[in-house]
Amino acid sequence: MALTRAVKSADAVRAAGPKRSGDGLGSGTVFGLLMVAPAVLVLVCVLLYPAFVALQSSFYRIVTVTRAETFVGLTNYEKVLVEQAFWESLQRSVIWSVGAMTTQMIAGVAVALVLHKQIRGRSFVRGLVLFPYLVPAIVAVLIWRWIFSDTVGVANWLLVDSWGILDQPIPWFNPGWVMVSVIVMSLWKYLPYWALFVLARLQTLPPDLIDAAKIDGASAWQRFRYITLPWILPVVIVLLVLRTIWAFNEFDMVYLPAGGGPLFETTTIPVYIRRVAFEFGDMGHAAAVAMVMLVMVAILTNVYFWVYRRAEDRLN
Amino acid sequence: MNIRRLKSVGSALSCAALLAVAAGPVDAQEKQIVPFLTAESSPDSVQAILGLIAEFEEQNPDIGIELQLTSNDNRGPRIINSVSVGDELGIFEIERRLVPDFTRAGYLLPLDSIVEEIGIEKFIPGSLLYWPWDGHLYQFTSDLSAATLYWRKDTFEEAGLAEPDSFERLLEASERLHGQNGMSGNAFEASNRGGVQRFVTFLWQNCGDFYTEDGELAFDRDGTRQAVEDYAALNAFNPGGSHSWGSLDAVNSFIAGRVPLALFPGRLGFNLANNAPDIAKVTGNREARVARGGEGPRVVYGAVTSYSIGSTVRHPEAAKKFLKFLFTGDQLLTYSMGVPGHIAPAIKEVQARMLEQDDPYINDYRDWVETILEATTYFNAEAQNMGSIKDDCTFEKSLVPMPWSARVMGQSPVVSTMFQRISLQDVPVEEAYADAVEEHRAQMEAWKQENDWEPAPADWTPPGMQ
Amino acid sequence: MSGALIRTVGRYLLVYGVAFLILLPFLWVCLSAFKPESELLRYPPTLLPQKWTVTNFTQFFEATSFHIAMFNSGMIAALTTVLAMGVAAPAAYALARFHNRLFESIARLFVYTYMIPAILLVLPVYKIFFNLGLGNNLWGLAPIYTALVLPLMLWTLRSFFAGIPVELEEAAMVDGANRFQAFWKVVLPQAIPGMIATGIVAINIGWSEYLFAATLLTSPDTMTISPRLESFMGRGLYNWGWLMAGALAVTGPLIIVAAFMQRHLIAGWGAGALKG
Repeated sequence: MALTRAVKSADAVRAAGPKRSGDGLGSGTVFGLLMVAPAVLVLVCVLLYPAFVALQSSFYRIVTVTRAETFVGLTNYEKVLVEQAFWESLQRSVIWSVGAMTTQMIAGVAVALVLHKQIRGRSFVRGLVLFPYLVPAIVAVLIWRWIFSDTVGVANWLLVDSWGILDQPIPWFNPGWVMVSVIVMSLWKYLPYWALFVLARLQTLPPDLIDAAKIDGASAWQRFRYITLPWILPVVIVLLVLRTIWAFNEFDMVYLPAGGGPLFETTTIPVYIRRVAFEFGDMGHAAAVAMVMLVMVAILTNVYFWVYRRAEDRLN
Repeated sequence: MNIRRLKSVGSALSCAALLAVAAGPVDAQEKQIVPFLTAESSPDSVQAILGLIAEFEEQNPDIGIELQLTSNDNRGPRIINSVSVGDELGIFEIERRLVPDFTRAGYLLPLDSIVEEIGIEKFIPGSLLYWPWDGHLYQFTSDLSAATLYWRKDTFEEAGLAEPDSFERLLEASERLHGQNGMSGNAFEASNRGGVQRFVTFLWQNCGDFYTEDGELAFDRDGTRQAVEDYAALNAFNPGGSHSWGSLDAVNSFIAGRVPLALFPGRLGFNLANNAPDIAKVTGNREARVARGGEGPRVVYGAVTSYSIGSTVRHPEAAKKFLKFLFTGDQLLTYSMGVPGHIAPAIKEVQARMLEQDDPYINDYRDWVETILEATTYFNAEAQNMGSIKDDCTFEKSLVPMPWSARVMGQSPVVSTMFQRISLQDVPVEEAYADAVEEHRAQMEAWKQENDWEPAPADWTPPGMQ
Repeated sequence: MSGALIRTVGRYLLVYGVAFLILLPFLWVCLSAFKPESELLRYPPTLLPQKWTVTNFTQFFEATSFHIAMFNSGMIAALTTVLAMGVAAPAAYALARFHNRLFESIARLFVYTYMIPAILLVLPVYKIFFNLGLGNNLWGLAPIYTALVLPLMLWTLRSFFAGIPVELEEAAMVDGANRFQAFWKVVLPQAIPGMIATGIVAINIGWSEYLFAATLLTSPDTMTISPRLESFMGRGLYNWGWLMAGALAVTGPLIIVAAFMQRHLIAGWGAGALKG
């Protein structure tokens, strides 16, 4: 059928991938290693060595204030895996990550599709849309706290008094809503990031494929589902992996709006780590929590990749 | 943009960077540099401080003061980080919760000599935080703050309400005014950042407290339960989002005319007068009486802001000199006039001089400033004066710091969680209160298990208190 | 009205509408920044300023010398970008061209380091830099930021280089250039769009980062914008007018960056067919 033909050619183009470099340049491994060396050096000195130090500290009980160290072996890890506060924080981390990723992904793809349209001033609009990404987290949170303020905020005023859509103001920072507010804030900030990456990939989609599908009578939804979506899927998956890692590690956008509250609702793992370090005063314990989270994120990432490869195989 | 341009820009930047790094330490060699860390970061105060630093450096050309700023939230972690890496702690505004641990660990320099030079009788009694276990002074008081009650005389009059001088009147006003003209009944919040400060006035005037001077639980007293019930009843009329308020949201809600009642230190008055003069004109400011029938000990929430000097400071005499310079006499007056009423000096004569200043705020709202300054003579601080409300309902400042305050009043205070559960999750007051009692007990015992601690010597009285 | 015209109008509405929605919070910040504090602390809020004023800006800058923080942020953003690019480009090139086990493992290593949570690293890194005498030193942040963005930059740059045909370098080498010259003179110029697109990540971290900057930088003259802004929140300042002015000041320079970059950005992100 005509549609299948179009889809097949799209698949073929996609599967061919970029022009592979191959090994036509001969071994030259020394050259390669020299090129990679500075990066590896920076990484080891600034990231890996401190991470190793932190790993070490997780086997001690370190009183925050006096820095007194006592070796406790795996006790910290036992504590972490047993304490309810850890699992609750992990649950909140999952809620936050899933919420943030789904909203950012869907909105990002949607906005990318919109920005792909042929209109005058297209570049200008795309530049504008980039703003929120370049705003520091503190400023973004400030702006939204100002908008969502229960006493002087414009959001509730518009919703209740001005447009009369709602009877009661939305308690943006109460349990049940505060995580929504946090997700909205980072949706606003990171939407451009997703949109522009997906847009870039969209621009490499050969227009003849779309035209051919149109001629063959495919509807907009069919065009999206069978041509566009598979084409952008690799980028979406890559971003999903990277951003999920980011979401689990993110502190600023989750802590600044509500300080971990109310009633701990925004206490995700990074916020919990801060609490352990400075409220309970045990740096070793805090390091152990961070290590456990690192392992979980690593497992999750590997699962992602495995799923991705399976999906790719099945597509081909 | 081509490669060549990129390369030259890159090399120019790197050269500049190298030069900057090289040039750095040179000018620090001749002077004695004393780091000065403060969280008093409102620009009015910072301006005042910078001016005073300049004055001091002029008078003492061999000493240089290096100003370091931090936010209130980040103050504790910053100090701890400095200690962890072995950085020099110069003069720093010590985070209240860190006092016990730091003092016991020997990180602080004794500052008795400064007070001896000035004369202890010049200070407001109870404003100097001596360390009960050895009688030395490790923190020098820069200023005091104390809470008073602000209320909207106009809305009260309109509704025929009497001046709020007791719990019953507070409750009645909150009920009647809630929902009128887009207002909520009161600004008595139960947030993580402000809940404790609002609540403790109720706690103490009902004869309750957190712990006794000897470190036993006092949260299970009847007075505490009464205070919790009363405050929870008032919580029903605070603005919906107040559970996540930041430190000045209470102030701003009053200024915006969203609440007719608030309990707050002097910052509220000052900001109100500056930003909403019409509302300020019809606002009353009085001593807070919040227990049933207005009874109970004369005590309100307050705090002592103090600065310590690290024992590893490189130039201890220079540091002490600056500390004394900054927080006495004319300089203290200048500093306090940054936000009059909110930053109240701890030296009696400076307080008196404040009231004589020709300053617009003091001229227009002199009675407010007087009320607030008077409140600094009967305030109590929850983490600095453990067990000041005795079993027999008398109030006597203990000056015993609460060693485990970080656990029960840190990022998520136990009482804030308790009130949030009552308001937001409809947990019955009895249950939430019982849980909070247990939590206070558990955290105290956990701390005691990990640290050795004994009560302060029973017969010790702080100097300057009669 | 013809169907085509409706569709065109619809398209414009959609695109500009979406952009407008995204920028709506900014619009509100702009309006708020020009209102005096007394007008800001009012309910119901006013939409357009009743009284247009620039005192928020003048007072804010005078009281806090915020321009110093902005300058610092700009400097560190530029330095980080140069440093990071200098380190990442060669490495990404090598990872794109060589595919043996060794290089695959190195690539894998970079992915795993991206997972390390920053909070874990703050204290050990601070200790190291402090002991090197870079305690309150702005430039000390450059290597830290470079390390933080390196995994991301490598990942994306690698695809760009992979998309550049090998034949170009082979031709150059046949003409007598050595491998490095081939890279420098032939490959890099091709990858400029990709490098600019990746560079934005480095600029962003230098300009906006909070955690490491707040830990290492302590005095007003070395602080960058995020710690400086945070330092007067809480007890010090909830002067909304000043905070709005500060927010505008922080995003203002970004307009210039975005305007300059956006063409290259899209081109760059598209030029390398991103393969995961």
